Amino acid sequence: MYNAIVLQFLKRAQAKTPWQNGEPCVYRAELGAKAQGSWLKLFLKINQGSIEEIRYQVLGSGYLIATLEWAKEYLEHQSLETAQAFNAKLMIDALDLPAHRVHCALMVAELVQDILRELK
Amino acid sequence: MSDFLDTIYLDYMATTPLDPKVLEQMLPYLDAKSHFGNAGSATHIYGWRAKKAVDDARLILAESIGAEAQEIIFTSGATEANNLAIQGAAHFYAHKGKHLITSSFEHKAVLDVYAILEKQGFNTTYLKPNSEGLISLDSVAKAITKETRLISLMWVNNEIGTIQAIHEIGQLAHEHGILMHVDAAQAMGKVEIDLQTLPVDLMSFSAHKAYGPKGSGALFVRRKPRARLTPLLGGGQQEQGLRPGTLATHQIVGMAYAFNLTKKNYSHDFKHIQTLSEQFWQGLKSLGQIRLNGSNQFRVPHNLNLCFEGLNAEALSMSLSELAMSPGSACNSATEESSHVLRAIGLSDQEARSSLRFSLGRYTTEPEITRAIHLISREVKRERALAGLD
Ligand SMILES: Cc1ncc(COP(=O)(O)O)c(C=O)c1O
Repeated sequence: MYNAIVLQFLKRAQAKTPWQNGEPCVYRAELGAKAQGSWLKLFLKINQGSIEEIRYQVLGSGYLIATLEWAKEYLEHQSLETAQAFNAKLMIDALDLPAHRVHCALMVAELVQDILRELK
Repeated sequence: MSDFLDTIYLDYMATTPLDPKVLEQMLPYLDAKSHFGNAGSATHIYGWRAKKAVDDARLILAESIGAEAQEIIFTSGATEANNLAIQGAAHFYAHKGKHLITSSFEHKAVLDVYAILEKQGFNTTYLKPNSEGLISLDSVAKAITKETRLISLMWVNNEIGTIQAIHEIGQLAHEHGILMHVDAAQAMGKVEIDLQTLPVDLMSFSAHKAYGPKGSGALFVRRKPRARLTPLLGGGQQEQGLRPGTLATHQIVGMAYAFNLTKKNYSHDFKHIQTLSEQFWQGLKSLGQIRLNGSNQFRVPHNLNLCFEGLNAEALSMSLSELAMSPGSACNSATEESSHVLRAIGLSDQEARSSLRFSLGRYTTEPEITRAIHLISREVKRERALAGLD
């Protein structure tokens, strides 16, 4: 039986054209490989210390897509301080991820932190 | 979560609903005021009635597959029938040889039985299907040794729907004095079954794959020449001592009636399903990057196992909550492993994880197929766009 929250976020996920390289204020990070069936690319547009917009590309399980969509909705319009505190546990709890899906949250958290590190 | 009655059922290979006419036949045997007796009670009318129902059912079932009534052993399903056939024959004939042949893409209800026998000292060969999902006669011939006592192959594969050349393989087995067992759980209603002409000694059936009740099956055990089995269980003389235990009258009646109906409706059901299946495949094919797994020629139309290249089938099936289908095989969907059948026909792990099984049946309708095509197309496009694949 699928978890209803995961299903809800999975169904909300919609593709948005990723920003081109060189687009001002956009920071990006990538993880995994398409050939292995698990890949994600995250783009944060940062303006005046807050996250203006998030776009992503993803290939993977429904749990991974849902986790990414949840993270996007959670982080958009948040300050960078809030983003600093963003972690896997938040996603695991919010989406009630089962143990064998926890890696989805770990992957997404890592991408966000990668970008924040680059920003510093 | 959508109401499950709105969910389009495309998982007939996993199980089928009970035909309402079958249910009607079963009810009197569950009724306290009617035929609830034990078919083994020889001293009163309750027992006599139950025995008559079982006898009639045995005859009806036998006639629907070209067998004789005494050749039918009632079991709890195809899993038990497979166990009885394979373990029973292996043990009975062990003194004549301990080599057993099967294929690597059988149902677990055969593979696990072979694993049990290996632990008991039997030697086994697992034939590899080709990339079409077919076992060649040549590969069977090469595997046969002087020690070989049994060949067990499924007729219709439960994941990819491919049909094996049972007639030719059975003939080859008999030329070498080897017993032939066929797991026909998925064959009932999908191919024509006539045991009068089939060179097969043992054949397993399952009621719930053909609009009968779950928990009911049968094993055909040929009498001429006689296939002999060592029983798995001790407990009584029912079913010629091969399968002790009080007979489940209502289940047996339901199965016999379901098989009889399936035989009567064969051409009608087949044509109906073939038309819808073709419509379904044509509708999806136009999306591009979708492949049909297994032979296009030697397969039943009831089943379409499709590889959505580059996509994650689990994500697709999750977002298609208005449809009931299976990733790979229903029997495996609780585990995380990719399908052993798809890997056996040469798909990579990645391709196997991009595959979904859709199966159609008697009650599938054209509007359901139209809607399914629409929903799948929408989700495939969305997933491709998310992955930047379009
Ligand atoms: C090919 C095959 N063999 C055996 C079985 C097991 O049948 P049953 O559920 O009647 O035990 C199945 C059903 O899943 C099957 O598809």
